[in-house]
Amino acid sequence: MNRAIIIALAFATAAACGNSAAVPILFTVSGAVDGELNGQSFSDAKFRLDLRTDTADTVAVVENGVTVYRNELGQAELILTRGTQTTVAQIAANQIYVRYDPTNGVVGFGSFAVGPFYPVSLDWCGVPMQCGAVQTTSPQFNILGALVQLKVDPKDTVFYSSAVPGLATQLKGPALLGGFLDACYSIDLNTQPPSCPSKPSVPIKTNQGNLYFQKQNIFGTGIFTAVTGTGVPW
Amino acid sequence: MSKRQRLVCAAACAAAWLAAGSAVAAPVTYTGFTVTDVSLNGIHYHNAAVTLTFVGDTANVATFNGMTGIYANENGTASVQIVSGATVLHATFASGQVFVSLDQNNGGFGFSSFVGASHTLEPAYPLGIDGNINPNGLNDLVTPIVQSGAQWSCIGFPIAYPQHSGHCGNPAAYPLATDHGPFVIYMPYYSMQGGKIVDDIGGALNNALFTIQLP
Repeated sequence: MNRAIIIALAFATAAACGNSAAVPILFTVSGAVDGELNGQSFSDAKFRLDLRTDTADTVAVVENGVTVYRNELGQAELILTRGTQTTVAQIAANQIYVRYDPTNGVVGFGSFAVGPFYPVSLDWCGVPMQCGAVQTTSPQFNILGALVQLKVDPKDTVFYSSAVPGLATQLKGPALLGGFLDACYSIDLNTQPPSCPSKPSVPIKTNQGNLYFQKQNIFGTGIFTAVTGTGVPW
Repeated sequence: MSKRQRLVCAAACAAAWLAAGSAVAAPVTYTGFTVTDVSLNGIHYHNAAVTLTFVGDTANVATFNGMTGIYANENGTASVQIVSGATVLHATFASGQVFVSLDQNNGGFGFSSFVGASHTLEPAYPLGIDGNINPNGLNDLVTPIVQSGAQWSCIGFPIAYPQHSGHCGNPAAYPLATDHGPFVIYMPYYSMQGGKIVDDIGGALNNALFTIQLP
């Protein structure tokens, strides 16, 4: 085959494949939570839930008519600080995954056994998927809400500092999101105050024992980040 | 003294100690965590993981300037850790700048500071945390707690009162001195209405965590 044609085909193939280079990525949710580890209950513990994976494994899927971004591979780890004691628990494979729904403003870790919002999710109104339609006549209170609003009406950038629109993400690069933290299998909004009376029948298995999240109140916010590159220390 | 008398005395002493509450001195560590833009010694780090730490003693917690519901711990050592990608930096603040505060009236915790040549008080700089705070945790600065809320790193806070500017001042004009050069923390994510930050609670979009730890 003519050398020039071979080279042209190579470039065309590379262009068609797009940016397929894989980059290590660390997804993290940080916050405070109640729950149980290895049979020991904890309350108001600071936690960080990590998933070390690769950007090539982030996929876009359609769930209930909206596009969400998921990464289901990699190694998950929980760093739990109870008082002055810090426990690092390696989470067994194929249990939890990272998921971001930019239309409904929910990001966090879902569980294959339990559902997309457990063990922990951040949302823009207090309870995932119970926010209703975002209003576009005034600003929202957190990054997740702002991005939901800007997706509906891009002209609402007038309500936000110039750096906010740049936080939109498809989980294939660095990210910073934040909102109300929910870490309950089935929150009971009928009690005063709302509570988390039950835990799922299936625990999250770790090398430190079975893990349950069971956040007992509706207060508190969390931070979601994505950091790319090797050698990320945390 | 009989054994029975010693037991009664021990119980009474324990009850008195408990009633004294925070009067017993103990080492205490306060931490504030957020992800935001910072600079250290002139190098800018975008969306770095920032942990502020203040190590002190509970015996130094007191009301601030005699104001009811405002507490501070001004004696201790303040430091910062910055994690940006694979880079980890530590710096210790020069003394007399950064201290820890609690505002029960308005619902917030903070790493406050005295900045500039005039040693101006900045209650929400380098890091104030308010909004969606668990009210059950607004006790004091001696009870272990983990709280979360909105990140304020705002020169001039509060800025949304009537006749206030509606904008945070430029923090780069008020660097905090550390043993690794000047430190500046930014608040790049906020909401506005009419061209001003919307209010002193909902205006900050980003989030932060605050903890009090006793040994």
